[in-house]
Order: sequence, then C-alpha cells, then structure tokens
Amino acid sequence: MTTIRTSAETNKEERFKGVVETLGIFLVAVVLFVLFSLLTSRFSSQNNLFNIIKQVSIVAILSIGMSCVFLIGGMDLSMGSNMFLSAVLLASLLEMGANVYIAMLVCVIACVVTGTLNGIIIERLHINCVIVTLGSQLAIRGLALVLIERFNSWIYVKNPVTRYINTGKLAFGLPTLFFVIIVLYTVVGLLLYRTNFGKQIYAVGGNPRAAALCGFNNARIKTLCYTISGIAAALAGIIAACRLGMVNPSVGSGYEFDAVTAVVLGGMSLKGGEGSVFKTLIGALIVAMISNFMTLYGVDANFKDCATGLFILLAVLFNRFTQQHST
Amino acid sequence: MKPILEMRNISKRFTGVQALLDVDLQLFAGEIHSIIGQNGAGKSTLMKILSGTYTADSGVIYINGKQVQISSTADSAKLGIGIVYQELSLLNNLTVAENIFLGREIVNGVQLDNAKMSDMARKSLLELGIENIDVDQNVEVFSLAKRQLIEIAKVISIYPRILILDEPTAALTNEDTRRLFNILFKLKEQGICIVFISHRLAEIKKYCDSGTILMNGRVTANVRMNEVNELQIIEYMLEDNFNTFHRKWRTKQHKKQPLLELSDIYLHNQVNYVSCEIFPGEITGFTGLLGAGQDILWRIVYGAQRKDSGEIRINGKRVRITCPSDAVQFGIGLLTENRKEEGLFPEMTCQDNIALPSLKHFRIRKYTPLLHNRRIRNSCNDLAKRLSIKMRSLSAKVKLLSGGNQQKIIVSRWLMKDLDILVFIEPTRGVDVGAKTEIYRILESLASQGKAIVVISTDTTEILQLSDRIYIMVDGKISTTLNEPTDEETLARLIQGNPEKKVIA
Repeated sequence: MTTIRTSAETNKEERFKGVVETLGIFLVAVVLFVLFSLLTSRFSSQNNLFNIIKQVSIVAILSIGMSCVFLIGGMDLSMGSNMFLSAVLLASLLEMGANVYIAMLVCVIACVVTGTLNGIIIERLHINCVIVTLGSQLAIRGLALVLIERFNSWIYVKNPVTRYINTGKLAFGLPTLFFVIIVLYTVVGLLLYRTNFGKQIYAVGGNPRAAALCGFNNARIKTLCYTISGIAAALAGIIAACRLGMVNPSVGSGYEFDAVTAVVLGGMSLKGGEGSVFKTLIGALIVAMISNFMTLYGVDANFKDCATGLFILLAVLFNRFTQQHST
Repeated sequence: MKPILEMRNISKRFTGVQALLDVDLQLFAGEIHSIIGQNGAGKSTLMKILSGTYTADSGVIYINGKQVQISSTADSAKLGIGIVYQELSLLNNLTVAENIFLGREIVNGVQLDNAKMSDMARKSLLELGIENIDVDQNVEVFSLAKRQLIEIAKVISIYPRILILDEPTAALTNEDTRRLFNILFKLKEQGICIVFISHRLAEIKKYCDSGTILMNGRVTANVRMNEVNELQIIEYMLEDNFNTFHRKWRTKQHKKQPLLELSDIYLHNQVNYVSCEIFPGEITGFTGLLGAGQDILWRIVYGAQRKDSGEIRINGKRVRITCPSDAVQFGIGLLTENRKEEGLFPEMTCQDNIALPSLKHFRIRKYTPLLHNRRIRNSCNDLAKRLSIKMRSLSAKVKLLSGGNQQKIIVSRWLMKDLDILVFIEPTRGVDVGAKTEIYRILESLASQGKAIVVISTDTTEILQLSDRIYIMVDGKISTTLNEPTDEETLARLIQGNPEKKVIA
C-alpha cells in the first residue's frame, strides 16, 4: 500500500484548491454567461443558445487540432488555410457532381497530407514550427485559391447532407452540430487520456529528453499531432462550407488565431505537456459567446474586434488569478 | 597572519540531508586553498553559501575580521568574492569583450564604447598572460580551455579578493591545466586568495598550498599540502565503514555466458576503444573521475549518444543500437543522473511515470487502442509496494515526491517493462541516506533475480559496496578491471590514474 503522509485536513484543502483550479475557466464561462444574459434578455433564449452552439462548432473543432499541437509544444498557423482548402475541395467536388461522402473523404485525405507534411518538415528537418506553418499557410491558401478561381471564386454548396449538417436536429431538438462536437471531443478525450499514444503526446510535450530516453519516437509522435491538426482543419472546413452554404476566398482566414485563443483560454501552456482538451472546449465557448453577444448587443462592427480582444484579455487575467490563488 | 575570510560553524540542512555541519574554513591572502571531498561531501554547498546562492542555517562569516552577511550573489560580489562555475556562464553569441564587460558596459554618452571595452579586455587578458585570444571574436569559436581562461579574466576584471574555481580542470588537458595554474600563481602573487575545487588529487597536491577536507558535510582535516601525501588525503576523504551497506548475496560462479559484450567502443576524445563483458546476476560497477568517459560509454550503449566505431553483442549476437528505442527493444534500460531532465515527466502522475513505456501491454483487447486503467493501476501498486515507494496516491503528480522516491519510480518503470540489463548512472545522487540503502537493496535483489545491473558512479564507497566486478576508467579507457573486492584506498588511487605508483603501505 502507499503510505498516506498528509493529514486529512490538508488533503481536503488541497482538493478544494484543485477544484478551483479545474473550475477556473469554467467559472469564467459562467460569469460571462450570467453577465451577457442580464445585459440582453435575448442572449439566453433557446434560439440564440442553439446559435452559439453552431457558431462555436468550427472553432471548437479547430481547437482539437490546435490542442494536440500545443501539447507537444508546437504551433500550427496553417489551420485556417487547411480549413479553406477543405471547404473549397468539398464545394468544387459537389459542383462537379461527386458523391458528398466521397467529397468529404477527399477533403480529409488532402488535409491529412498537408498536415503530415507540416509535421515532417518541422520534426525531420528541424525547422521552427511557426516559420514552417506560416509558409504552408500561404502555400495551401494559394493552392486553394487557384482551385476556386476556376469557379469564379464563388461556389454555392447545395446538398441535402450539407443542409442537414447546418440546420438539422438529431435528437431532443438539439442541433446536429452539437452532437458532432460531443462525439469529436469524446473521441479525442479517449485518445488523449485512455490510449498509449495520448500518454506519449503528454510525455513528449512535457519532457522530450526523458521521452526519447524512454524509447519513444518523438519525431513520429509529434508529426502525428500535426496530422491530427490537419484532420481537425478538414472537418472544420467541411462544417464551414455547410454553415455558410457557399465558399468564397475569405473562408477560414484568421481562424487559426481563434483556435489559439480558445486553447490559451483553456490554460494550455506554449511549452507543451500540460492542459486539458475539455478546458479548450470551454475556451472556444467563451470566444463564441463574446462574439455572439457583441452582435446581439449591436456593437459597431469596427469596435467589435477591439471589444472582443479586451474581453479575451480579461478572461485570461481572471483565469490566471484563480490559478495563482489555487497553487 | 590573519585570515582574509573566515567561516565559523556553518551548518546547512536540506530536506532529509545534513549538507554541512559546523564547518570552519579559513582562507589567507596569497594562497591557493583547496576544498577536497567526494561527491556529496558538501563542497559545492559550502561554495554556494559563499557566493550567496544559499544562505546558511547557522554560522558566521568574517571578512578581514569583520562579520558580514551574504544573502545574495550581489552581496558576495560586493564583498570581493568572484566565482568561476563548473558550467561556464559565458554567453556564446557575444564577443569576448562583451562577455567580460557584461552588465557593466562602458558607455560613451548613450553609445557603447566598443573600442574602449575591447582595449581593456585585451589588457586584462594580457595581464593574465593570456595571448592568442581575439577579444572581438564570439566566444563560441574558442575551445573549452580558452573559454575557461576568458571566464577567469571576466571574474578577475572586477578585482576580487577571493577567487573561487569550481572544478576548472575537469575538462582540461594536462597542458592546459599547467597553463591555468601559471595564471593562478600570478594572481596569487598579487595577494588574491584562490579557492580551488577539484577531484584530481595529483593536481591539488602539486599546485595548492593548503586544503580543507570534507566528508559527509563535516571537516575532517585542514592540511598543508607540503606536509601530506595523496594517500593521507584519501584517508581523510573516505567514510568510516560504520553502518554502511553490505551485500547479503553475491554471485559465485563466473563460468556463465556474458549477456552483453562491448568491443572496441570508440568516440573521438571521449571513449577510447573500450571492451568489456556484462554478466547476468551480477552488479558491474564502472567508476572513474568526472569526465573519464564511463557515463558517455553507457549512453553510447543505450543509443543516446552516437559512437564512431565499435560493436555491441547481446547473448553473442551482434546488435545495432542507434536510438534508445532500439536499446529498450534489446532489453536495456538506462537511468541517468539527471532525474529531472532525463527521467521524470514532472507534470504527469506517478502512475503514468511508471507505466508509460509499458502501456501497450495494457490494452483492453489486442487490437483495441484503449487501455485498461484498473490493470495498470494494480500493476503499478504492486511495484510501488515492492519498492516501498512513498507517495500520496498513484494519481499524485510525480514532482511532489522526494528524490529517493522519484528514483524508485524510474526504477519501477523499467521493472514493469521487464528488461534484462539495467544501467544506473549515479543511482543515489540527490537521494538521502535512508533511501540510499533501500536503493542498494533493490539493486541487489534485481541482480539476484538474474538481471544484469550496471552501476556507474564516481562515489567509490558506493561502487565498492555494490559491485561484483569493477571497471575503472581513466581518460576514456578501461585502466583496470577488478574481479576481486579491494579496499577504498586502492580504488581511489586507481581512479586517479597512477596504478604503478606503490603508495599503499
């Protein structure tokens, strides 16, 4: 048996601290929710809540990929472009009359390739991840732009399946996208916390030297994280195309920063090896709530970005505050 | 003569370890004084108290007869104490002159006066008799020996009254060491007091005037170098053999097949054609001075360090090991002396830290990637019980554990993996005395189960108490193989690399 060294009391205290720490970002979300509901009654209406779920879905799914990359101490700035590539591929394939499921599969495969290439360049050639993904951000977006040019830079996405993804309700009157998020986060949660590979991600991110001496193939594990990031971007792109009902050259641009915001709000460190993907989900929710509230409240479009930024800074400060007081 | 610096009754305690107890130290101007002792004797702690990195729990420090408080590194610099650390503190991407004037740059208005700094840097190097160093070159182009000299020039340029050198010669050749001492002699003539820390007794005997010998945090002797010989110094350094560990069990037969054979392992300048055999059921000890190549050799075997040539055979079959995962596959596990940097995943739980490399054996079904958490937990609990690891629970973060328990966590990691060859580099560094004996017992019982245990240590007592067979390395070569037990004096002398001298009575 393991020996219990601390008294029950300190144990309790520490457990309380642990709860506050885990709840930190959750508390931020609750506080914001209450605040926004008080400011505009429409915020907490059922319709608007469904709207928020739909709005959060893209960032939430991107954040899955960004979390995995953050966990190994990396960064993927090409996610927005990958997402754009996937949306363009889906739309153009549908336009050419392809089966919708096959089209989606092609989107995922394409982004698996780009994501893995990112990983290989970063990990095998040892080039800084920010530089590499900044480069591939341009390259991938350029490639997709060439493709969309052939369709006069504007493709409508009209298909029963894509429409169902946007507006459909799967069960209990809840939008399909809600269940998509739940399923994807369950899968990634199981992957990270209940598989060998997930544990290795945390190990490689937390202490790469020790991981290498444990006999782990660090480069392979890290490369696979960039692959996951590609898959997440592909799914986000598909959903973006479904949500918008069309694809134009502005799709996905800047989305990688929303994902970074969500991940950082969720408390993941840039060093890697720390943090939880479920907190990232809450981070994404906060980003979506803030942006939704701004629209509802009728904030001037130019001022909106500024206010969103301020809200995010406040949320991060609050989060840091609770963490400091709990450790 | 009055001492320039005097420390009286200095004590310092870390959790579970009495690092220093009532240590007295007297330093005189114009002398080279050596602090002598084995690893963990308290040399570094004592110097860190002087430099203000640590503060003593009790005791007083006098400089020129006046009592002083040293509570920060800035304090010690103000009092005229300059330190050259073992790990050089130069910034490689700056020039020599910039390094020397780092933090006290000479300015001309708002602009840096580079010309003047270069000039002064050149002058201070010349004063030390150091030539052939272009002060406008980046530090990274110079050899380790030259960097050492630059570092000394940097410390000297603030005119310290006391200059402390922490193992400056560990990485230097004999020629470089001689040149270093020529410079130190010059400084000595200027009335600077020099404190010299080294493991190489020959150097100490040859160049120092006096010495303070520490053993387990206590002063065992103050000596004048012209009055003692190396053997007497060694005697003062070694523990009395009270209450020490004794092997209960040793292998008798030597007719077995070697499990692991190394032949002609070579790495330029580090390991010089080493061949040896490791047998199952034995504890094989490797020892030598710091930098004699014993740890690099085993990092090569583990695939953590590349080699230039040489062959590794396991059970008589030649194997290719190019990375640690190869080594693990062939049944070799390595535990390094840097637990924090190279062993633990501090933010992860004890359970994860134990089970990480073995997780693939805990799948729910053969082709399902999901893991069976309860089976992992049970098997970690068994190991924790076997090695009596003290922790709050398996899901506590491993960084909260004490050094000894962290070490046991890493041992249990490789036990779970069921490897045949376990290599321990400095297994008890940073571990308190109680846990030390426990770890020795664990090593012994592992050997009795037929595993091949390799212990690499600079602690001669440890090596003697544990090993069935001892390889002594000097300058990258195995200088001596001891198949029979020996006494500490012989071992200490062999490590110094002068086997032909008949010092032993």
